[in-house]
Amino acid sequence: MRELFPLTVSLITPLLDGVARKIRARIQDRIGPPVLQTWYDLLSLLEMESIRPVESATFRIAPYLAFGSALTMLFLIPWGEETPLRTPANVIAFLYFFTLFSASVVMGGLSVRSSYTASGASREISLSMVFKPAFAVVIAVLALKTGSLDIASIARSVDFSPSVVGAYILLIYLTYVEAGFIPYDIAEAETEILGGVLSEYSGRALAVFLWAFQVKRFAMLWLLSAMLVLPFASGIGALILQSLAVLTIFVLMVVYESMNARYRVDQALRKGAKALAAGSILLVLAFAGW
Amino acid sequence: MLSAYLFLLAVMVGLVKRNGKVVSAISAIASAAVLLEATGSIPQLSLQADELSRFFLLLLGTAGVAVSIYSYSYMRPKHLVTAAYPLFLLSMELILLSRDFLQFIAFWELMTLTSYVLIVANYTESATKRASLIYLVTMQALNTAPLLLALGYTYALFNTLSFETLKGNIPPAWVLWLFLVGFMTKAGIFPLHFWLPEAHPVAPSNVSALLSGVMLKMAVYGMLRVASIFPNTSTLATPIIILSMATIAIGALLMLVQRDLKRMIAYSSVDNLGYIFLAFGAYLALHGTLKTVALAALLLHSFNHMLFKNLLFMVSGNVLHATGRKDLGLRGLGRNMPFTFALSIIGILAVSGVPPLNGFVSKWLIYQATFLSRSPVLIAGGVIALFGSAVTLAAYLKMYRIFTGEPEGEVHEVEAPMLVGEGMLALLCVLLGVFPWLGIKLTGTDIGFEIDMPLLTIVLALFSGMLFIALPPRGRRDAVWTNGERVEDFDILPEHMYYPLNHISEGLSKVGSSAGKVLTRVGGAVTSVEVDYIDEALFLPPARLLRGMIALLRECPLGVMIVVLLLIASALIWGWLG
Amino acid sequence: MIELVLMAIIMVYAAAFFLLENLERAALSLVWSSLLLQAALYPHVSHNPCAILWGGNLGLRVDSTAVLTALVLTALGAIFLTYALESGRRDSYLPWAAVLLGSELVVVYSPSLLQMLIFLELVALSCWRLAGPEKKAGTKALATLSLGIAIGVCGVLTKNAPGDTRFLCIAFTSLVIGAQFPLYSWFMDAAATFPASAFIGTGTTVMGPYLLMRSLSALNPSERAFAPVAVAVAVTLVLTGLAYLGQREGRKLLMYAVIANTSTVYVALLVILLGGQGNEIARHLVIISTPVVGLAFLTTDAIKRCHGTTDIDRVRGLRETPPLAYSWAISVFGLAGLPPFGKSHLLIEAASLYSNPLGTLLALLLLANSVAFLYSGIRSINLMVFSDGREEPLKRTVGVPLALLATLSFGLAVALNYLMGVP
Repeated sequence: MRELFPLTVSLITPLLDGVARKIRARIQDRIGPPVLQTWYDLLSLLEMESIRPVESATFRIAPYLAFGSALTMLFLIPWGEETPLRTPANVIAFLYFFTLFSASVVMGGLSVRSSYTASGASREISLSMVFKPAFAVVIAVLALKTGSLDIASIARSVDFSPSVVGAYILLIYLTYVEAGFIPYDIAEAETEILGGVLSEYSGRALAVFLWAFQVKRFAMLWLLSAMLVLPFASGIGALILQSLAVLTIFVLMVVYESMNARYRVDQALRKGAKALAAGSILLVLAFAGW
Repeated sequence: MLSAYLFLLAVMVGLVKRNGKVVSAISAIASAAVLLEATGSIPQLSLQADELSRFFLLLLGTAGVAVSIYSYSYMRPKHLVTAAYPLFLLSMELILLSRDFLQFIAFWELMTLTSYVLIVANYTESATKRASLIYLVTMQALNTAPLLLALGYTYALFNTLSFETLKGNIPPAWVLWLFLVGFMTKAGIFPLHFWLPEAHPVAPSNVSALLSGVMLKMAVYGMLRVASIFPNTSTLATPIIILSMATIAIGALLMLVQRDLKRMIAYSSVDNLGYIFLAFGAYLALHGTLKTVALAALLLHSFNHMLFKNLLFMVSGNVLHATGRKDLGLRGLGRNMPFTFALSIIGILAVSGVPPLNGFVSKWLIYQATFLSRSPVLIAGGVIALFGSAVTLAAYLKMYRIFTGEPEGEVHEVEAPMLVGEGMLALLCVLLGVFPWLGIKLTGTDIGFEIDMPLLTIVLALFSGMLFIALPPRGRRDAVWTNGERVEDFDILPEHMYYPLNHISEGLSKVGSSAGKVLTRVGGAVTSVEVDYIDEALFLPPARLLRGMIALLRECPLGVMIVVLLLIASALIWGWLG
Repeated sequence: MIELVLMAIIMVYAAAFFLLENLERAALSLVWSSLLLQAALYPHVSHNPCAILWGGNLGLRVDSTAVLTALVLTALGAIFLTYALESGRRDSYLPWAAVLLGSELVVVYSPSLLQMLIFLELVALSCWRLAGPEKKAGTKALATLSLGIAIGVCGVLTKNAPGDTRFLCIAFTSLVIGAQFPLYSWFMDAAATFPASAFIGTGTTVMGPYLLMRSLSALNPSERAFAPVAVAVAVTLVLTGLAYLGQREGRKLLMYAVIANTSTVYVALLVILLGGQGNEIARHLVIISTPVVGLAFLTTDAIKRCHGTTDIDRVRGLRETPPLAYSWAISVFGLAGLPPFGKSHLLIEAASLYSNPLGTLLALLLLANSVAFLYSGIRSINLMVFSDGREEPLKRTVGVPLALLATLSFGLAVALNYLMGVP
């Protein structure tokens, strides 16, 4: 049963993207495409043939591996009471499957000699070098406070001391960043470097990649919702609340997104450095017992 | 001890025949014998070693087999290299088999000397000369010397150097510090890491592999041995943790700005030894289950680092062998070197700690040992470690890039033995990643929980695979899309890949090089001191007087002789009488 | 037994006369057979030490330390003599080399300090002749050594003075002969030309410490005598350490290392003063390092013959002549105390060294000295060996002794390490 959640959700994620497009259109005073538009896009891309700029196995496998790792991330987060895959320290595993996702995206992009994919890849990795440690700081604060690296048990045993509240705020920010919302969609940056890492992908391969990105975005949001909901709810109610939380967060983030324009990579990195600094202060607070 | 005799045979052959192939073959067999003896699969050949030595013998044996097979095609007989290679392996085996510190230090020095001989293999290059000078002098000053002093004082205190009888004794703290400094230097821990990125890249790649993969682990073994003997080692925990944090950060950041492939891999060794020492610090600082986890992490990461670092250094050897270059500006090697490409992808992912490869498992354990410790320094260490891990991937993507794109020149895949040696390690990287209990069983620790890697891997493989089968890639070949510009003209150079972050690393390396410059200047001032006949200067007046007298006597040298001889004769007579 | 030892000594002295008569072959065979005779005696003597006295102070004492030391000396002397003769140096001073060797043997087999000092004066005299009486070096050597010996004789003769004072007098003699601070430059000058350098060099590194060792057992000084000698040795270590760093002259580099090497033996002997077991270690060090010292002198001479200089900045491409390259490298590593020429034994087993702050300082200085030498040594290897140059033809008469000494030093070191329990 619990194994089915991630699978079903992966089918829903394009729908969420459709919702986002609708909201964005409304804010920008447009009618916007139908909610199912992302699905239509994906389906039509799946039918198209892809163009390979290079004879490379990594180029071909990368989208599938990215999809697999995004889905595995979903398996590591609690769904209500249950976590589909129980492993110790699953927040670390989650983080590293995220790394696998990034690695496959970047290695797929870098397997072509193109300045667009290369700049997309280096941006993606530059961002991860700043935001991963920020994420690590959040984990550190929570682990220090709860003595656990398991998402569910962290969420269940948090006390809302100043440092934990700060860590939550930082987590929300990081989720927003890692989910790739504007102004942090720097690695893809359709309007600037034509999709960045993805610019050489087309047709079916592109569809798989886009889908994987949506699943990853959902995984980040779902992690946040689990962290927000599980301290207060349990049982089947937790799952329902989590779903509602995801929807709310998603909508809020989309609204915020549509009011922004993309950062340059160095601006984003500076923000990341600030987040890291804030996180370090939180860590010191947590050490001090607050 | 069969393996030791086999190694000796290889040394003899290396001295007499200087045939790299024969030496490598015998070394491979001898290393396999080490494995057999360490696992005790043949009772008659089983070695007298405790669990700790046994584990590191397995590490040595595995590396020895893989690297020796690789060397079969790679090793070029140059001066004493063919004899030093098996002797190097033998010295490390004997270090592990030593049951007292006297033997330990003797073989330790032998290891240092043989590694020097191996490092100077390409002695005509000025980089090699410089590196070898730095290496041996650093080792003598900061590795051998502190260890000798520590051991001398230990012997003076307890009148024994045997591991067995020393156990439980409590030496003063500064002796432990001497041990720490000695082993830290060998392991390349900040601030004593400076020799490592000089010495490792200049050696032939099979030797670099052994240096990084195995020799650095001897320092880890030494520290563990000291920790297992002296109960008060835990006082060193905090300094070790702090230094290893600095090591991780510096290794990782400097890795990012290297332009030389092997130098980058060498900095990655600094980084990874930081992880190992972080786990060691956790092992010293913690109690209970987490202590066991830290020990498992430490041992497993040592083993894993050996696997992927040997693999990566050997892959860099493939590149060097095929192209004669080792800079990161190479492009398009993957087309003609598909196996090397595949092997390097495994190495890159493993060193970056990406699941489901082995690097992930041991890093996972390290994070558990640090994040769950509730100790501020250790948790900060965990954060730094995660940062280091992200940077590692970033740096190694440059290595990935040398294989992608269109080939620039004619290159050929390397010979089969080289690929077989690398393939063995790559296979182990995957195996120990997917089945972590294999590795944890190897370390002989009981961490008390299961790591569900097989299941995670199945999930990952299942979904990637299912999608791959359901929607297989299809399409046609076409050129890279551009706006009309030539691809090569707008290629992002490896050194510009992370330009917004480069200044941090460059600042760091500037600090490092200016520290080096200051040292060189001090060294220059010292070496310019002219010290000659101080005694002549001191005793100038009496010496002048003497010289004057002798000048007088010199008029008749025969007379002087007669006088002296007479004196001797009279003294003899006096002695006879008295 | 004693008679055979006496015969061995006389054979060496006799060689001097044969050399005077230009009967080189006969002289050589005498020296070599003296070596063989002593070697044959060793197994018996090492278990049955014996002594004979003629009169109060003169005689022969034969024990394992004496025979081992004498063996090392004779072996090196025989090799150098052969080398000097085979390479066509029929200089007038060669008979003095035999006298030097014979006198050294008498010193080694001496039963009393007085006899040692007397024959050391003969050694000094031979040094003077060997270094060339016309040159400043020879007279300097004779004057310095005689001064040292005179002070030692005072120490021996003043039987009423306190034991420590007498010991310090003899220790001064020993330090002068061992080329330690305060008087070491005579050695640098005297050992400037080959083969005089080789005879003097290998002799002093053994004679000085040997005298100290015998006086230690004869006079039983107290721990108070430690500090003065230790300071002298420490200063020597510092001076030589500084001298390495800026050294551009290969010969001098090695000679300073020889002095420091003798200091190491002194440190081992000083351990006895602190109540430790230094004899074994000192003997071990002497046997291991003397052939290396010889090799160092031989190598510098060979390089000088091939390249006309031993200037580190000017000698190039030794790697094209492997025997020279390897013997230079072995000399450097051997004098630096890398395995198997390790000083590690001393630093570990000389436990009582650490009970005294000055002793600990000595240990530190020893290590620092070897680091400094290693730095200069490897730099010299980088410049001289690992550079481009052309192959220099090496005569068999040079190549064979080089190979012989290199093998001897290596083999001895490995064998002794094995015997001492370091496999």
